[in-house]
Amino acid sequence: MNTPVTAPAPDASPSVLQVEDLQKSYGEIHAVKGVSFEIAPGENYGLLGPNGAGKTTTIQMIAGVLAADGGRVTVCGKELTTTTTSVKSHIGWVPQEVALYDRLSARENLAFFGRMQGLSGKELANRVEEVLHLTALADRAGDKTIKFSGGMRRRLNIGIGLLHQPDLLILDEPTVGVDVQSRASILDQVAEMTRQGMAVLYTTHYIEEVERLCHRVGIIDHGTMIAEGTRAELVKMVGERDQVLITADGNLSEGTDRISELDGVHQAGITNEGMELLVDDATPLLPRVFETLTRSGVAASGVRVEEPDLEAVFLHLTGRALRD
Amino acid sequence: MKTLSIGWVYVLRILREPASLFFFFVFPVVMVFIIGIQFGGQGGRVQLGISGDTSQAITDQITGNLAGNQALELVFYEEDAEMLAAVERGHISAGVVFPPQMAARMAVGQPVLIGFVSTPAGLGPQLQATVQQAVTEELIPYRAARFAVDILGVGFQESFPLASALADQVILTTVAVESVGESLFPPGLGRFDGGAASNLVLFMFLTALTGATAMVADREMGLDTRIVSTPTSVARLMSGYVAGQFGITFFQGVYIMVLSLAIFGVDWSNLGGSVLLVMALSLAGAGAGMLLGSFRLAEAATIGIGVTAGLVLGALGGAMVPQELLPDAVQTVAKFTPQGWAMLGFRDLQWGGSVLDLADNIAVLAGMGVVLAGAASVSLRRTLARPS
Repeated sequence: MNTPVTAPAPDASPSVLQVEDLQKSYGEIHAVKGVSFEIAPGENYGLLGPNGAGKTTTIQMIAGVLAADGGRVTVCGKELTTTTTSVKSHIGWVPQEVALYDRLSARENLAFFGRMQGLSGKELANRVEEVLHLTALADRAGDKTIKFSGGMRRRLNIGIGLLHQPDLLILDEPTVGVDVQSRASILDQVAEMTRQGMAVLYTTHYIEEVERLCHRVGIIDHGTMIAEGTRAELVKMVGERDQVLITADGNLSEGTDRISELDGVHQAGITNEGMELLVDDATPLLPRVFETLTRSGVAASGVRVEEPDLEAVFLHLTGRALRD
Repeated sequence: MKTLSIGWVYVLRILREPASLFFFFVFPVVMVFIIGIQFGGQGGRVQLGISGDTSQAITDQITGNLAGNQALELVFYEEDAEMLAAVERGHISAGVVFPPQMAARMAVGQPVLIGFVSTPAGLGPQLQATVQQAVTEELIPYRAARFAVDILGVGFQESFPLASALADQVILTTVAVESVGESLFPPGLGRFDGGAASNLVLFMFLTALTGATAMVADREMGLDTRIVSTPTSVARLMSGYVAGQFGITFFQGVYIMVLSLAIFGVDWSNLGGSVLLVMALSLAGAGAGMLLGSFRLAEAATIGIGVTAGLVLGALGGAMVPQELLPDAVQTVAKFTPQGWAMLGFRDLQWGGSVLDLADNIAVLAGMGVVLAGAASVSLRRTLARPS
């Protein structure tokens, strides 16, 4: 189950990012245990993993803000460490938490971080205006960001990462807590960037974002890359199984425990709406599933049988739903 | 360039933070008033309280005599207890209590007791001598008239006018007082002009230390990490923070000096030298503040430690009590505190020292600033390397 799926090699052009055997420990805790992957120019790579899997630690090492204990990160052919500052100009890191100066305007925030990236003069002024338009914040450019909505702050957060037109854009959960419109806008921007040749490393808890945007996906759990490949390659790992999504309420924990003991059920996990099962054949199994649910004190209000997706792959590989 | 950008943003965000504005502009004005009220204006005159029965001709004469002394400012009280409290609290240096019917009692040969109160420390003995002399001078005709009554058998009412008329011809013998050894305060210094410098040093260092909270807030918002993800080193980031905090502390120091001078006439001795000292102290304060801010502490803990450290270092450095009054061991410790070097610098200026005399003070303070900033950079690198 833990054997990584090897993806086909990226296209012939040299990788923008090469991560080799990356390792990081905090005392006795091995947060990252030998993670390796590559991203080619114009490729959007999704990094999936449950909370505590080691995603953020991996990303912070790739962004050069956290020193690795072992392994190597190479960006555009240059090795990155926390002290080699020049390589960082190739990277645009958009942290999960919005990191803006509340008392500065959008324009002032962009100008400041642009200067930190080494931009100046006309080039800086032009890039600030371009990013303001790209993030649809031009009409609020002079307002302090403390007055911005969550979506506007997220867009500006991404805009700062784009200012210097990096070769590698690292987006750590960029759509958390944003409204539907802002989310759509952010996803459109990311898709456009990859079309323009930018390499993107993307983490999210929203499986549909990965399915929509990412060319390849790496699944990380307990600090180890447990699978990697295109969506189709990963789904193949689940085989011909069915994914059963049940809308339910009640004692879900006991329900999933009992269902997972049924013949033909490979995985059972709790989701926001109820539970998700991975089964051999849903049709003959469903009556027994509902009977078990009733005995467990679970009230089911809806059921959907689907072809396996990345969520099912994730459940299959980790035994946990993505948002656990 | 990046250092200045980081420093400017540090200042800008504080300028735009309503709560910070209080500390930036309003609190220094409060300090100006405190310094001005205590140390400005009438600073050179010693206040002597007067209470009791002041409606008599003899008390008018004695208080008139005292009022003629340019070093004294008389403060009259309705109640003896009120004046006593003022002496006890240090509001005035000493007090004189006049008993009722002094002249009548002296005419019939009854003893008269004029009260004098002062605290054990301070100017009590000197003031007692001054008051004693004034009383002696004004009582000459009374004593002479009483002498005539006792020896010659004439009436007091007949002898007193004659004695009063001859009083000016009496040759008085006074004691000339001269101090030897080094004085704590230089001649010509206002009562507490040295205290203005103490307050300034104490306040500047405190605000520099509490400025660490801005840095902690930046780190908690992920701004430090974001800046370090750009081609900007931790050392450069720290140099920007120090530059920003230096600018704020220096501005506050000069702001307080100029306002207290303009409004209250507080004497800062050598203004140019004082500004240089403030500049060097600002650098040391900024280094210390940023070192505190670089530790992995929450904002509340940072404020608590900053205020405590500011007060303790201030006390050890002679910003609360002059270093000369501290035990030898504490005076040695003071040499390791920025406040200690700043206070010694201000003392040099008060004793007429020039800017050149401040070279060692400024060099040590600037050196402390650089070392503290370097330590802050190392500490911040370690803090950022730990998981958030």
